[in-house]
Amino acid sequence: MRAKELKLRKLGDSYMLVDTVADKVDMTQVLTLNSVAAWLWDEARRQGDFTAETLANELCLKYEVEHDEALRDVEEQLALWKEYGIIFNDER
Amino acid sequence: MTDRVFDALLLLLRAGLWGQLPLQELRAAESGRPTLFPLTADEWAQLYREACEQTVVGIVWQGVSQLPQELMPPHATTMRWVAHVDAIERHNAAMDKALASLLSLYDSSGIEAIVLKGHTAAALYPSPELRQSGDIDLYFPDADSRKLAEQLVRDKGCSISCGADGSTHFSWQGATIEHHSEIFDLQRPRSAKIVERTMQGIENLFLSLQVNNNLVVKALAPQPNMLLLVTHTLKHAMGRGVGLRQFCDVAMAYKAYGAASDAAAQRELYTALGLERWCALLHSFLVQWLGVPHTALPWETPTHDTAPLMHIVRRGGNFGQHATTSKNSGAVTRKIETAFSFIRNIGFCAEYAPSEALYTFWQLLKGQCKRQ
Repeated sequence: MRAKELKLRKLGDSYMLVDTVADKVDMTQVLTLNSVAAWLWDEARRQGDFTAETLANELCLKYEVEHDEALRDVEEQLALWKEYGIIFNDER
Repeated sequence: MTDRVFDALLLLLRAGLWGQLPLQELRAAESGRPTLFPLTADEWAQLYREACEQTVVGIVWQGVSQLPQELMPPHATTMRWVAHVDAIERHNAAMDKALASLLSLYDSSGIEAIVLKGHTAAALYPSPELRQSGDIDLYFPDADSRKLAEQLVRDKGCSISCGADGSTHFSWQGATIEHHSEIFDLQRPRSAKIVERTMQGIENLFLSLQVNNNLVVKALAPQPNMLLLVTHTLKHAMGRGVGLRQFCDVAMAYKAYGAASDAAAQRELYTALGLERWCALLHSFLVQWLGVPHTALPWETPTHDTAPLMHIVRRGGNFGQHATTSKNSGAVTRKIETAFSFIRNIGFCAEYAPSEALYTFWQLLKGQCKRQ
């Protein structure tokens, strides 16, 4: 999978991603993320071509959680991001 | 909009420009002054709207990002604001791309174009990508180059229109490009001669400027660039209006090279141009409202009452585009509005730049009549 080239923005405790449909302010969707999801997004962008497994592995190292729990959380998050259209399957 | 909300906007603007939120001003109540924060949801909405009208959305956002969590704007305003900031960054990236492609086209035919104002002003900001950009202004040192450049873009299918001031404009990859044969906005004939003589005395009038990682352009050297920004701001203050962004441009230019330049020579030049009082007012405005340190100013000026200038800023916003009568006006209405703007500002003009105002108004009338 790959993530769209969206810049993660931080304001106070909030993290946000702005995805644009066209070059118009009113044609955008803004997604708010918690700190773990923001970290996950950065990690996905860093990895470039990622899977739920590769992200879960890193999540375990970062937050000291069990692998199965991490994988479940990552899969849930990726499903949501896929629904929003900000990640996609790499067809190359 | 209340003065308190406007003051909060200015505080955040200063924080955005200088990278430091003056916490003591947030806690003004402790010093007996009225508190600016927290703002209500409605006040935040007003502040955001004013930032839009003054075209300082990105810079103020940088100020907002320095606020303590409990003073942040409400979710709805934040969402709109962050989307707007994102759009500004994308727009600027697109403008840079368009500029690079156009300069490359000109360069391939041996044409040298000098980038003026917006793009070069942005390069002096700590975060150039957050400065809202308008047109791309290009200057051609000789008329033949300009003609050739215009033929090149015509050959690419661009339609070129003429402005009342002798400039031409066209659209290139979504960017509005303006071609100029004059650098400065000065209308008084004597001033034009003084400036010409001064420019001839500058060894390197044009210098290379890194606009971003991928783009280096030819731009004005510091002294003429400063003169351009100062006189351009005056032109709009006298006419249809001027916004905070134009003052931010001057502030950032002073920060970058104001104090380092030859103060005595500059002061002499501005005095010869009849702009000493305007400079004094401008400097007072920059110090009082935008937090420019006295040390960044090229010379010390007596403090002026900035209220008349602030009145113009609040009335019109960016280049007067947000004055109540100017939105969606037709060409004839705009001409009448411009003429009336000068008349409305006649007291201001007479006080701060009388001779320049007189010739500007005369040129404006001539230009407008020609185009009727």
